[in-house]
Amino acid sequence: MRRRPVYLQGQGLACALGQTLPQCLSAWAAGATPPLQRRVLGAAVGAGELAVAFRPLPDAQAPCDDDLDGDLDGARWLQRGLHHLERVVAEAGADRRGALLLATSSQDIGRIERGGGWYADGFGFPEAIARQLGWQGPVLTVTTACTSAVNALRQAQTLVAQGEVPSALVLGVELSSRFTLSGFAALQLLAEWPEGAQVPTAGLVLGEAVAALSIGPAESRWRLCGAGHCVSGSDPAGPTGVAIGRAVQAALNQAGWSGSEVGHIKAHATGQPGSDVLEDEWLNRLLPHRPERTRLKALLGHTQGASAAAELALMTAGPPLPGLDADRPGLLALNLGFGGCHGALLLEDAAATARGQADAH
Amino acid sequence: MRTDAAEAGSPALWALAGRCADPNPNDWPQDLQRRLGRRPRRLGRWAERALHGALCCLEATGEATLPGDAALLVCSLNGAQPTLRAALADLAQGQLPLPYTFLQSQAAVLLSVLAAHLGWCGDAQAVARRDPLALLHAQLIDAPPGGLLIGWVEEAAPAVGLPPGAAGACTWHHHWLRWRRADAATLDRPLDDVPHCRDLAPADLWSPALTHLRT
Repeated sequence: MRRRPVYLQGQGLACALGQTLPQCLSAWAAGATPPLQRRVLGAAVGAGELAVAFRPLPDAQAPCDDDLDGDLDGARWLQRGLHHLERVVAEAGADRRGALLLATSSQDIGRIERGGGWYADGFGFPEAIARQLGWQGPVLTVTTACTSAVNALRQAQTLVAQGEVPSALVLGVELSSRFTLSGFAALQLLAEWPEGAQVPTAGLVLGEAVAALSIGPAESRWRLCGAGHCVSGSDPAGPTGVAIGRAVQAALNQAGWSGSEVGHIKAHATGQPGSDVLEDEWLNRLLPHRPERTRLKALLGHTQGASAAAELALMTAGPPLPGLDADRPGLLALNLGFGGCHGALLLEDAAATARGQADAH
Repeated sequence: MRTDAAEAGSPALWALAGRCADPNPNDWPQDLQRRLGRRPRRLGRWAERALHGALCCLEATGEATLPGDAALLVCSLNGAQPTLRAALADLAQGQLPLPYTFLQSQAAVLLSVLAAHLGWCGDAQAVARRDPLALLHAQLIDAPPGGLLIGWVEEAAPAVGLPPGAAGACTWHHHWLRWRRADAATLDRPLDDVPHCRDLAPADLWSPALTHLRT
């Protein structure tokens, strides 16, 4: 069977900007900055209290710094997650016979650390989601850290393009976990928030998100046309320029594009000076015409494995992105993650092409 | 990323170039140390086990390393869960995770461990799926020209009591396969005699009798 074109059919999002995609879009358009939460993690080894900044989902059940002793037990953690999942899936629209691809780094660690039991094996969480959604098709989890949603979209693209499934749904899920926050803090990656300070130090802020991207063969505004992923063994916790280049080039090759056709970039941009500079340098080298960039982690927080799904849900559901036109219809999404993971996606904006054709007439 | 054969609409033929299967030798940690020429440091048990399997599989293939245009896929239902369990137990006692403990709990970090020790840089993913055949099929239909190195890796044998129907539940906690594209002209039998990936039972995947596949 020939490979058929694959399109983004729908989006759903709950994140720090709002509990629904329209709320998120309105907040983004209004330039709103979601409030930061101060999370006390405990006593660092040989030091005093360790507290960091966090961007929670703004619902009534949002965990606070003392939630391990509070009302949000394991069952309620799961209930909260499933509630958001059901809503974003309804927003995105989904055929339950298609493939369900879960992109997550921290899975349901937050549930377990609040007293929830372990499933019979490590696939219990995706299966709990599938049961809740009444899913009938195959279920797959991708765990490539912060490139998880990139790879879930790649897998979805393959399955739909080859006719293996009628459609696919990529779900990005990152919900509060003290272990994950503590782990990032142990690596000294997070913006810390000393007691008494009005604002945290500069740096990476983690956030919560539940995002859905529905993928199918029906023609729509956004075509998923290229993807690439490259793992480097040189640094398990940081990006390398060569691997960024390989991932972007692989995506361009699959799309059959040159870099000049990229008109806008969804940058990874976590807020860590070193990796952000490296990312910018390599994007400038690869795309010397310097397309416009959107950096969303300053608003959503870094939503890890869900970040590509969450950020793309927002960007593709919103108004036209600056820089996209008939000559440069490509949106490049770059995500970088632990494990030397470097992921790139290319989407073509048919509306930009159509605008160019209309202008020509 | 597509194979030429599939692009042309014809079935692709794959040859199993090498495999590494359970049971591991009891002295696999020592064997891993011998292969690396040094004691592995701060990798975690799961990553060590995966690395040992990948190295054994490549040795069986006769490849010094994985080609840059091959894909690497690790499938695990439990991932680094034993490390995570221990770390969460410490966290419950108020002890924050140490940096290496946290990294060892991240499935993706296994990928950089493999890339570093295989001297390789390329397309790698860590995934979880119950059905090993469906997973393999989905990877092969989009495999790059250099083929696929795929491993099913669990740190320990699966617990008794997996859900009914869990495919190959007790047989695939440590299994690596190296698939390369093959030319039908080199086959010693008609192409139609080569099983299609969809027609196999999970146990067939681990059988030494399996040498070729169609997708």
